[in-house]
Amino acid sequence: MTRQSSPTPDGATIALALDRATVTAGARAILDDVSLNVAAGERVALIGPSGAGKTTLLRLLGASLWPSSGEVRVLGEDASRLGGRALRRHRRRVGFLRQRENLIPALRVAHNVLMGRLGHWSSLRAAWNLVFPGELERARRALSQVELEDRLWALPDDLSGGERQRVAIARLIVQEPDVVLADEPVSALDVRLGEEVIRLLVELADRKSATLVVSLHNLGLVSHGFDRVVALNEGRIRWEGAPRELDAATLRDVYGTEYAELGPFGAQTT
Amino acid sequence: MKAIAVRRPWRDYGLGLGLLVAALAAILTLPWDLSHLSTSQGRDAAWSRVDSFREGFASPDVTAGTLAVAFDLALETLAIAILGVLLGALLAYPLALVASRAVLNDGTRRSGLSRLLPTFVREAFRGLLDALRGIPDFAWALVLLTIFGPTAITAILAIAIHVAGILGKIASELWDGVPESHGDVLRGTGATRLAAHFYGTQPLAGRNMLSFLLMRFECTVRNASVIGAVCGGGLGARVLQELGYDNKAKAVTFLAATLALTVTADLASNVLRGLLRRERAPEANQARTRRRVAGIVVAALVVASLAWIREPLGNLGAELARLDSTFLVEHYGELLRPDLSLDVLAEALGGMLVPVALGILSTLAAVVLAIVFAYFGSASLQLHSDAFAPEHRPTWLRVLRSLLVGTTRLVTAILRGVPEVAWVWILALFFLTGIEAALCAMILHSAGILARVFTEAVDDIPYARLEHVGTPSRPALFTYGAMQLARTEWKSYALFQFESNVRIGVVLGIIGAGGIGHLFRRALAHGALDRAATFLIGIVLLTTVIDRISRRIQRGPRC
Repeated sequence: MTRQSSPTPDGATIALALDRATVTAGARAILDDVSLNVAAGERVALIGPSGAGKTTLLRLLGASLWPSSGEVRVLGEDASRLGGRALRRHRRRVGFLRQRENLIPALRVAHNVLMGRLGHWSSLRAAWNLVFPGELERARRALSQVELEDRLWALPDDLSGGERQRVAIARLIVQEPDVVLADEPVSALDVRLGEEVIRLLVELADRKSATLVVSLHNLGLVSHGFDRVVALNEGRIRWEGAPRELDAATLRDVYGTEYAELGPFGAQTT
Repeated sequence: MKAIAVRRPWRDYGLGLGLLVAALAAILTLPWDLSHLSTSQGRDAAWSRVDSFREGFASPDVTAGTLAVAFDLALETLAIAILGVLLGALLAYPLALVASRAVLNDGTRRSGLSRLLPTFVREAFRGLLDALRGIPDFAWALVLLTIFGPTAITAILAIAIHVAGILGKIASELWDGVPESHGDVLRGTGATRLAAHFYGTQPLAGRNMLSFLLMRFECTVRNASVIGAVCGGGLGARVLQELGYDNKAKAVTFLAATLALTVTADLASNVLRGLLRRERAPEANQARTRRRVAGIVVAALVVASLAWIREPLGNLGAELARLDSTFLVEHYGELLRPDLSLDVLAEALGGMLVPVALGILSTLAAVVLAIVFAYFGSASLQLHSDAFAPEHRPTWLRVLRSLLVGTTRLVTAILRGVPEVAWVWILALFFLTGIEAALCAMILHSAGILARVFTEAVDDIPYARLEHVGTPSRPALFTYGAMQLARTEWKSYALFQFESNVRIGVVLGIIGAGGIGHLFRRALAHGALDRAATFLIGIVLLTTVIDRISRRIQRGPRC
């Protein structure tokens, strides 16, 4: 049941569009001829086994990687044709959250949060803010939304894994992106903290009507506010549909030998 | 319970404020003298000296005769460095054996005197290594000058004594760093302390020791090319002579030869150390073959070096025969009786502040310059950013960035390739010899050294880590990403450079910058050896205290 293109909800503005995008590493295709449209404001969960191409797809959308062939349009622009200021303007509209290493260990939480404003600041202002941070009130407000307002001047090493992810979400809050991409943001967290991080991401997307794409290992989370699930396998889209349509047969087909490792989350979904 | 962090900690400003206060104190401490530039005639004279050098730079003397002399002197400098380092290493090994806890410890529990004696002996030898290392080779050269005359022999011995201190200290620290269990296993079989050392500790520390030896050789080539300024021999004596005779074109040729020699040694040492770092342990047969090849190469280098200095070596017997040993013993015996009167001690203390102040200011300025160089010279940021922040760039921009990286790296290679002492000679054309020339020379040379290691630290950051910073402008990516991720390494290098700059401050004092180095040379020249001894003790104390402070801040062997 391989599908290589996906319809968009009628009348909706397309925020993210991959048109026959392929990414190769040597002779191997990491993403193979993938087409996908995501509507503005839509919340998409990406699932699939290890090495399916989820991170590569997110890096393509985040303009951290160009396709070997095909086209990627984010917010109507093909970033591979942009350079200089136009590219920076484009990138500041796309926020990215990763599984780990989102924060700079040597910088305090205030600086790490305000890094979300780097796309808005001149280089000189950015350098000045490193010594005497401006817009502190903005950082405080963002931290209070993730319930960490008392950790403004802490160092990342003093925070727990869940707190670090919430600081990274505070950075996304001050960035005010139109697209939020998250690459397995809860893989290093326990179930409760994972749910909390997904709730915060969905709230963030709702607040600005931003488009949200999150790759997940924990399938129990796909029902936490996502409109659509896209399943990847071996660099191709294997299945897509509403979270409630995801069943055991589909998961067996998508995950293959890794299906058994899904444990209770796989069972929960089915 | 988690700590509340709603206020910015004062310690965030502590380092910056501390450095600012230290810099201001250093500025107030140094005896600035720019009086010769205060009049228009003085300034004109300074510029005319610079212009004359610039003309020499534009048209260096490239006649066959001068080039042949430059080549001969470069080889003589190399011979001095090779023999100095090898002799130093031979002296260092037995000293390090006694100074090492790992070697002296035979694993048995002792009490009373039998426990205290090894500790006393070890500490005494550590003190001796500190003294050999703390007194710069230039100071040793001044002492040995009276005995061996202004020849390459003096330079070799001065370098060897200093290198023995450095390598001895490093070797003992590396041996002490090997887990004791390795020695315990061998001692359990009844092996003696030395056998346990040669079969257990030495093989494990060998590769690091070789790496430090190569690094020291690279530094010694730089020192050998300028030490001739005080004791004759090599390129240094000739550059100074040509500058003194106002033969700028020839001086430039010999300076270029110095640069070529130091840059070649720098590159060769880099390549060899890189191979040592990357290479896996060789097979037994390979190791044997390599040891043989290395032995033959070292023996050939020693023979060639000895052949190159055969003239002073041949005259050595006659020189020594002329010496009045009774006079020497009496004369240099004074060095064992330092003048500890209050006024001399106060003078020594004041003199010790000069290299410290020079070290602080030069290191701070060099760090700022090195950060700028690291930005423009980083291959990750300027050339390979497509791997973590791809961007549509026209070909001309790619070419421009390649040129920028290449030019930055060339400039920094020249800055570190010209030794500090040679920079002083050049800068003294404008400033005259003094604090100003010394400070600028130290800034330029240190900036070259720090630029290389700062850039390497940035280029070692994994691309994925830089991608995680997000993709703001290149300067913002550098300040918020690369600088912060490399900060700990940079601090460590800057601290190491400060320590080295304090020692260089003493050396530059000897050639006229003032401070304790100058006091020592003046006392020696006036035959006041008791005062010279006090200043020598001051130099050893200064370098040892700085070394201990630096060691408390960061661990690891240093040179």
